[in-house]
Amino acid sequence: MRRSLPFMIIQDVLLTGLILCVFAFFHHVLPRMEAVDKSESSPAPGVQAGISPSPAPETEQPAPAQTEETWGDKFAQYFSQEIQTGENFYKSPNVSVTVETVEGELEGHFQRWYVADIYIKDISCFSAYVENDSYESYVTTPALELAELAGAILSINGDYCNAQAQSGFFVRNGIAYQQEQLPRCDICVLYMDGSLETYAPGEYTAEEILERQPWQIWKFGPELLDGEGQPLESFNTSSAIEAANPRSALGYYEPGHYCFVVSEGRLSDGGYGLAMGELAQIFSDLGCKRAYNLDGGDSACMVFNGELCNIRSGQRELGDILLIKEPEVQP
Amino acid sequence: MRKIFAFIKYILPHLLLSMALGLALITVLDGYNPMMGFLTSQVSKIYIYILCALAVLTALVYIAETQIKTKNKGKH
Repeated sequence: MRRSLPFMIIQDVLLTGLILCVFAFFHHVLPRMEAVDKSESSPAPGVQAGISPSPAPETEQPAPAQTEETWGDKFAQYFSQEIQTGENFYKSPNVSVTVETVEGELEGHFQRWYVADIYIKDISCFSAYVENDSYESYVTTPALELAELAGAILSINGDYCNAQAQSGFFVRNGIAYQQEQLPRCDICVLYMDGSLETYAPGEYTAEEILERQPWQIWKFGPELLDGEGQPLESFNTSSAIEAANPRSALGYYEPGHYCFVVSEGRLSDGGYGLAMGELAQIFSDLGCKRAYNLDGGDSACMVFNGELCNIRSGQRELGDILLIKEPEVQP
Repeated sequence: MRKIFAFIKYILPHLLLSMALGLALITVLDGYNPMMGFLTSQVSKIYIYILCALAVLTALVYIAETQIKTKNKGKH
């Protein structure tokens, strides 16, 4: 069988395209179609199907641990007796959130990012949410809708855990969904006592972490600070991810005191985007001890008091969010 | 039968080339977004197994063909 060279080149290009289409169908489209089918026939919210929660198979959320010195006393100056809201703040007896917009030049580029300073009275105020609690299904929802459904005062995008629900180690609102240690993924653990730790692969075992009662575990990363508040010199991610992008990340000062940072990016005049090192430096300057990068790019999104904060918010529907809300049972 | 074998012999290297190019592209995509699991998902693993099988088959066909040609040359 002899064919001319141009014919063979065209044939091979078309064959490559066809193979990639088949790959994309099985890798991306088919799981999504299955997820939509599952979510349509899913049981009532709160009931987990398919993935066995662990360590105990119960699906009810465990009660958050009580701390000896209450955060309510420690951060009393930040809370208010009644709910007070403004353009950039929210105060109540349980939650205090202040959102600040920061603009400036970094590495010769105009940058804009948003810092949400958060004080909570109870760990249940720091929650996570996906629509219908469908952590095993790749369901996406507009950011504003997710925030409203979850009753969020403040929310940012999460780690897209439900896009890769069958792998990794993640816990949401006290329920462990998967315990697989990914070989190249840093994790971030918020414990029920309010402390937050980040771990590189190989620095932890699922048993050790589950013993300490994790409230949330995210699997995206990388971790940004060294635990003493200093930016890491290298990050456990690819150079493409390290480059300037819209960012979304969370930081930790002490139990009960956290911050969310979301940056603009890919905008000609509204923000160039932060490189991973710049993001780490921002958290270090804020005084955080730990910080952890979440999904960025078009997913980077902050919603405060029912309104989108960053310009690029809403570019993409989200799988999951981190949120600050009033506790369901008043402490 | 000979036609089928000739077709397989013709299509094997093209399939291998296309799948190798596809894998190169998937690897680049994985660098941009590792969390999508382009290289670690079950589908990717199957893709790599198929690529390996194709490489082995192509090599076997090539070796067999070379052996036969050498043998025939020796006879003449």
